[in-house]
Amino acid sequence: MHNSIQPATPHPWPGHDPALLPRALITLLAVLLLWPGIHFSELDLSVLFDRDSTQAMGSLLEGAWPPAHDSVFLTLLWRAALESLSIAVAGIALALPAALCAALLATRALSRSAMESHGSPSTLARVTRWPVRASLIVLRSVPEIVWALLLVRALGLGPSAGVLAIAITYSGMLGKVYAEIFESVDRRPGNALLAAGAPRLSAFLYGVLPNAAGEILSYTVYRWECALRASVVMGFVGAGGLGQQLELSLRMFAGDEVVAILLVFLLLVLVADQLSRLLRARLL
Amino acid sequence: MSLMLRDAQVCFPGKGKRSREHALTDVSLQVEPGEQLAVIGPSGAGKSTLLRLLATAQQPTSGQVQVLGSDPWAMASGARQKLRAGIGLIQQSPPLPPRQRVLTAVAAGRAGQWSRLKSLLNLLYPLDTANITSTLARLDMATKLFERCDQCSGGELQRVAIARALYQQPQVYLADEPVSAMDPVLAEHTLTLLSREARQSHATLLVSLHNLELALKHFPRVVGLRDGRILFDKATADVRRQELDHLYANEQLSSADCGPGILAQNSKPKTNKPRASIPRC
Repeated sequence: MHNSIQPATPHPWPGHDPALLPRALITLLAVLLLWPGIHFSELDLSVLFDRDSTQAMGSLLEGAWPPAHDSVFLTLLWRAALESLSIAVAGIALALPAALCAALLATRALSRSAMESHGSPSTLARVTRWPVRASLIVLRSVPEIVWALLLVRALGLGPSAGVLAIAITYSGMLGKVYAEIFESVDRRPGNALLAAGAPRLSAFLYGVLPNAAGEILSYTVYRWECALRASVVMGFVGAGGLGQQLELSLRMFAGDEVVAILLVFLLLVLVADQLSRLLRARLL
Repeated sequence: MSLMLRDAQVCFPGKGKRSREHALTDVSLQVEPGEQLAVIGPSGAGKSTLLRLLATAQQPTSGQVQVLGSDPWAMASGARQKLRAGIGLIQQSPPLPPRQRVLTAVAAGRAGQWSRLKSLLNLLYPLDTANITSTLARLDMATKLFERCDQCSGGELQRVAIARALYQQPQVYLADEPVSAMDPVLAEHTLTLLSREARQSHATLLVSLHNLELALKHFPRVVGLRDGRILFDKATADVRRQELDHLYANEQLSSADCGPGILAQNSKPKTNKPRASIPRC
């Protein structure tokens, strides 16, 4: 052990932080990568203040306040909100089991070979994990709106296309992030159980899950919130819910209805946020 | 033969690209079933690595390991997991999830024997509370049954880890500084208990200890480890004062060799695993 105590090569700048150079380089690289992004996306804020745009916006905003609140529209809105909510819940519920299974297969946190060699998994283990990782990439590489467009063709107009679209994309997203959360928590409890002969699933349940549960929970609730928004967007292509209603109102330039729908969005996201806080407070 | 090492070496990749740190060099050891022995030595001597090697949690870089009569690295992965269920490793800073309850942490000792389904069911509803309570009671921890691990002190956590190993009912107990965070009376009591339980179940017990007195008092055989090599391995009665001085005195000599304090601190090599700081008695 003492052979590593040999005097290191004399450093030109004594006492400097060895992490400084890599950090500076990464920051520089990030800026270099971001700049072309702004350039090529042709971000131009002056279009907002064009004559045509201001007129269109004006006519929409004119009748925007107070929000629509006649009973016929409110019933419509209530049903649409419920539909959006159930699309999000059903989609996430379908995505969860698939995501959990895939995450368990893909994660390196439960690798026996990594535990044995004090480092990374063996080549064989990495190669066999790859198909799972690749299929997760395939699942989430196509945006849910595209899945919805395809599924509306196959299943017809209505919420079931939205549910399936969310289930497909979100199983990919959840699976990837779950696998990474398992890897980011303390490895020692899981490794200790693997070293005591536990099967990987048991090592996960008793060694990894207790540490990962909080993050898993808050990420899932956040994704559910995202699914809620996604279900709204998918309404535009005919997958039901608030989006379909919003599109109708936008087409008719009914500003008051648009505002009412947007207020419902706000309310739903607020509810999701509170739910997440409540769950975290109760379970952690 | 319960445990056997022949010319075992363990190397870790060092700080530099090309350097390799020898944690253990040419270690040979034979332990009969039911034998009880202590491993002593200064910090960084390789005691933890030796225990991990014997627990099959660490593959030797070269040399031969045999645990419970078979070579763990010559068998298939599934068979190795079965073998591991018979080895109880107690770690110095017990790797227990902070939010796990003591009850669950102890139950995890049988994770290697239970089926996946039973493990899952036990997580939903504890299936064997009576046995776990009695195991904890022997360590004076029964009142902590439903507390979370992050509510336990360092010494209590070590006792939870010991309870887990007892509940596992292994054929070999490997304990790495199992009482380092306990007060002298408790340490005494706990070691006595561990040694009695091992004897009753005819299990082998190998304990690494910082505390010389405890090692000499409780164990008939002592192995001295320094710089990854075995310095002596003999019956406690035959260990001479001089050998013990040699075992520990060299550490101070070599750290004095290193020169100025800051350099010595920075270059102090240690295994790369994170360690919770547990106060020593």
